[in-house]
Amino acid sequence: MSAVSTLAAYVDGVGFLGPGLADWPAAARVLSGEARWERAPTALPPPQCLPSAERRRTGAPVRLTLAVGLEASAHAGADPASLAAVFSSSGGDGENCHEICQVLASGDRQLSPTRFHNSVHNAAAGYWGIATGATTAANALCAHDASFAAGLLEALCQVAVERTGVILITYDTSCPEPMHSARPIPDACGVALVLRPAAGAASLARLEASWSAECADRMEDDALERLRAAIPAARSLPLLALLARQRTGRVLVDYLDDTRLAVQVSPCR
Amino acid sequence: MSRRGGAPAQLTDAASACYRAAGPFAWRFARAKLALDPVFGAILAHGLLAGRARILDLGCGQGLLAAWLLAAHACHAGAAPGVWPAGWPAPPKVESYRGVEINPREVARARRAFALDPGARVQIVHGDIRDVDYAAADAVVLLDVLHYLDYPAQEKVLQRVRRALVPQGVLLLRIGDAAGGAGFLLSQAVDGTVALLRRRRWVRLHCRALAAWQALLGRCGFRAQALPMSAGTPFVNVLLRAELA
Amino acid sequence: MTALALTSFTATSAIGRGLAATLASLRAQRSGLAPCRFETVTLATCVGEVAGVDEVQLPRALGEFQCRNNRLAWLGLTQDGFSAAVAECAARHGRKRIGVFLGTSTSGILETEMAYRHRDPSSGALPREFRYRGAHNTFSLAAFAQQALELSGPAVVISTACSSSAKAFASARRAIEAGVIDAAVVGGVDSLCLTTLYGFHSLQLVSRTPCRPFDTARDGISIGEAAAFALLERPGSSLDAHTVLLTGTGESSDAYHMSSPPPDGRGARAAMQQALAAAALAPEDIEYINFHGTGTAGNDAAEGRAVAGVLGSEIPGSSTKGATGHTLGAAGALEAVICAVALQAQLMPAGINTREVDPALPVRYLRENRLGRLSRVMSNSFGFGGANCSLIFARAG
Repeated sequence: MSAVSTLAAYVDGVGFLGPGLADWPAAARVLSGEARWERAPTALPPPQCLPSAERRRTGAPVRLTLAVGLEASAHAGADPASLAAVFSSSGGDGENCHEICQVLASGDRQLSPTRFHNSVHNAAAGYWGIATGATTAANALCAHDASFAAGLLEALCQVAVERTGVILITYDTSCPEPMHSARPIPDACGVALVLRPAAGAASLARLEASWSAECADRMEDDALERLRAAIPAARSLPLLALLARQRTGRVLVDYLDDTRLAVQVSPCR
Repeated sequence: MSRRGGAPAQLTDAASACYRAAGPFAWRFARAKLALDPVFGAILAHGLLAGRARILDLGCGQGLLAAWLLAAHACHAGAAPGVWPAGWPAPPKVESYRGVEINPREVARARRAFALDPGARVQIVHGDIRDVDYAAADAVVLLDVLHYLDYPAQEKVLQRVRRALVPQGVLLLRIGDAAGGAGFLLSQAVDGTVALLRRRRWVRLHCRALAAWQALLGRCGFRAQALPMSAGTPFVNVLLRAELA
Repeated sequence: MTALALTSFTATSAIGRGLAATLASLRAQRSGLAPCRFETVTLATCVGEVAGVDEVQLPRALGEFQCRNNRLAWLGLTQDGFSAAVAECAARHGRKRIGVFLGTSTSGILETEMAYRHRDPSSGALPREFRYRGAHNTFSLAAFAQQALELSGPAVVISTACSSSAKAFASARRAIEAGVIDAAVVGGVDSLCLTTLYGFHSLQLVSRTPCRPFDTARDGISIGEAAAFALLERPGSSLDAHTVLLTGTGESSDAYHMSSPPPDGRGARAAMQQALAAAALAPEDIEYINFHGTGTAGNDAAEGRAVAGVLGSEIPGSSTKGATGHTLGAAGALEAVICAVALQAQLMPAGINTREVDPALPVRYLRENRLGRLSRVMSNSFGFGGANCSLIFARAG
């Protein structure tokens, strides 16, 4: 295998769903300054493409990831089954975890088997495979607040080394009390990027990543900055803003304490 | 008596001992780094800091140089008979060592290691070398730091170093890639900017060809020579010793 | 794929703390499974518990990470000079150039389960000692390890149920190949908790007796806990005949069902074939296979068929879960280290507890240890949600 010289990929499609941002076109209008952000609860659609038996068993994370994943795939004109998948979330399914802990704390520890197999961190990835028929590799990562950058790094490494198309799906959902006070994520938010090793007709921009010790970029708008800081998946907003504006630029994505991911964005069109 | 990188193992052990207080594995790291990096042995073997009592170490990391010099002095003064290599000049007797470091974890490790220094000779300042004050110094050390700053900042730092040094002061400057030396390549472009091998593209470095560094030092009022150990290598790990012109 | 060296490795599980104890147990064909007397669990089942985890003291500076899972991690990290090897590697390459890729499925959830039993009676709040970031969160294991080892490169937890720490090897390998890092701490830690004990029980996948992988009468898993780590680096000049290399990785998804594999094992087959292709090996080059072999009717049948379909029926293999139990997120790394030990000791470990190999499974299952020349082995790990991973290890000489 030839040596890799840069960590770069082409973004072919984007999916988004967050508070008051129903899809990528809506988010892009806000991020490019064309529209003002009207804050509203995240509206999760019913889960698509799943057989009815599975549909009944799914929670917020599956609905969120299917929505953004399918949007990004369609945007890219890609068959989702052809893409390797990287899922990253700072917390998985908090609602499900709460229910399990409540049952275990009660006198009767009869866990629902569905709740149990839905409690694995890769549950959303598993349902994605069932919904899309994708038998390609699927990964599920966690890096706490750094989950978006960690997912992006893993996805870029797969593109660079395996020379394959990858869909990155980063998502967070809120959890109920009493956990909510310990982890106050206010609402669900998800972003999906279809990344490919070579430019194609659908390519929006080229991304090239490296390390930096500089501080992470903030959003200029105060309200959007609060969103970026409150939901780990929204750490993607500064990068998405460059994509929305079709602007060349370098964005510093929040990562771990000492390091940030610097991403050079070059639009294709 | 075994040697790695030219320095006796006992000296490396003695110098890294203070890092046991800094965390369970910090001393292993220190020991390995002191043995692997040739700059430590070279500083003593060539007497590069001889006679300098007040040291300013900009970008000092966990203060390995301080640990090294303190142990060298103790070793030479008879704490470990027979260890000091014949032919090595006397090491400096450090009266004060001031290290400046931006990474808080490195600062914490350094402070824990030197908390018990009886003479309280070591001071670690948590800060950016572009901003903190430089007190008067007999020697300033800049190992593998300048290329992380952009070109204007490099020049400003060197000007401030010039002002901080006493007339007989010395500047030790290492430029290029010090992490094992592998994977870093300079190309001698006209404007002094550099292309980097693939692995180091992960970090933005502002490097110069050796002649350009020497020209910069000249502009800042220094007279510099590249050290014998880096002869034959036009790039990677060039150690420069500069005095005031 | 470029081979990577495991320049240091260690494992702590129910069959011993560290490599010497682990190898001794393997040689003695000794199981670490015993009737479950863990915490407040009243299920009739056997587990592979690591003795003395609660007596492990974390350094004060790491107090925010206090939980059973991180105590087990610390116990693992401090065996076999592993942390010293990491410190020396960091001195060589720089702290930023060493990544941390660890697998876990439940992290510090035991402490969360206990916290739910002590909620404030009026407000329902969790006790003040509850540590979301340091213990509960899935990433806490990697954050803990990174701080404990004083590293400052990339860090991530991979959490794909039972294949988590096998996939960690694959992700680390890609990051090294991409030039992002020069070396990686790879591994996995999972510890006993109520969620998995009661959860697998609700799926009726747990045996009452020590598990019997590939046995005609197999009836479920025995849950275990473990901490296993390896230091992955490009092979350097210090390569000798004993060095263990990672030479192939393969990953796939089932896209079938959340908790059962497709009966024909097609996902497992794809992962194994990918690993062989990455290692540029033919099926007959593999000399031993460490099965995922959990001991459930469905898993072993699917895996048996898949292995026979890819490697044929002659290659000797075994599941070591009869000795260690199913260590879930740590299984991939634990079994990788067992494979490394096997390669160095030239020993194919027996699949203990199995009394009668199921004749319907077309594999050559070892019920006794076999000594002899061993240079290339494969290790399988398959997780809930259909995340499959196959790894190939080889001796350098």
